[in-house]
Amino acid sequence: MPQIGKGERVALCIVFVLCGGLLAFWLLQGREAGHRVEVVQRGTVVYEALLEQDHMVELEGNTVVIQNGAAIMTHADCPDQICVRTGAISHTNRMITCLPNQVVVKITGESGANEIDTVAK
Amino acid sequence: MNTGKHRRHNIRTLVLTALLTSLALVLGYLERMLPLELITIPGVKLGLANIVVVTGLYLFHFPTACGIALLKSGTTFLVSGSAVGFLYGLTGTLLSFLGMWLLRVLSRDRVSCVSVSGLGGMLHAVGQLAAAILITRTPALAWYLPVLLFSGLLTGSLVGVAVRGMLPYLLRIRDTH
Repeated sequence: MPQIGKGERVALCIVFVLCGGLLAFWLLQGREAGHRVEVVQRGTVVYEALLEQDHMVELEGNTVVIQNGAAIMTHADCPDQICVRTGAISHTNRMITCLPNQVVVKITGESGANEIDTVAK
Repeated sequence: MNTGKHRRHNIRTLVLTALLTSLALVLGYLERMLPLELITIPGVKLGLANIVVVTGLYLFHFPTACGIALLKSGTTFLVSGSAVGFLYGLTGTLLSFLGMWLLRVLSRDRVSCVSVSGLGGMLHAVGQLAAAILITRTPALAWYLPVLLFSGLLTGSLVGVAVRGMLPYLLRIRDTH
């Protein structure tokens, strides 16, 4: 095995710093209180409403509960349970993902014109 | 005798391939037993089984090495049992294998297996995420890219370090007559 050359070391360090910077940027991105919640399964929006609105979304394999202004995946029949372990989310730039069942729970910041219209009606 | 030598070489390749594939299965199983409860990002994992893929890349010619990469995906599927997960992983594995092969060939082996494997880890993340976005039709998943890139680079490089330690011994086994 040849030694790792000096040029390669420098290149590897640069790539690490770049990726680390990207990660830091990702970790430090703005997190304001979210307003709306969206549940998407296989690309189709299954549920979309204000976060304050308590609701239980039952999907095949997954259960999402929206309560006290936060969304949480309470049940999933997938093997890794990553989505359940993610816990409750209530801020923008946060997401719960269940890849095996293709479910994504997303929080968005905009309070949304739709809801205002519905209220006005 | 030339043909005898050739046959011995074939048998050795067959045995090494079989050993590496079963090693992938064991490493994949071992990784699942590790208590990594803190990780709540889909796709972030150690990827111990990739040790086998990178090793294959350095021991064999393209077809055999590519075969090992595909078999590794297959064994991961056996351990996890998730069909969709298999598709994500397969795309990641293929993209990362091709990328690593290209870097190895184009650099004429002047780049070490640590960097090759680091690149492989990043490409694995990209391929996996692209497959996940296409299959689930949820572009929002691209949000995970920064974490996946970094974790891919880190675990990939570590896999490369492991392979670097193993390779001299395996090369000796491959080349003994």
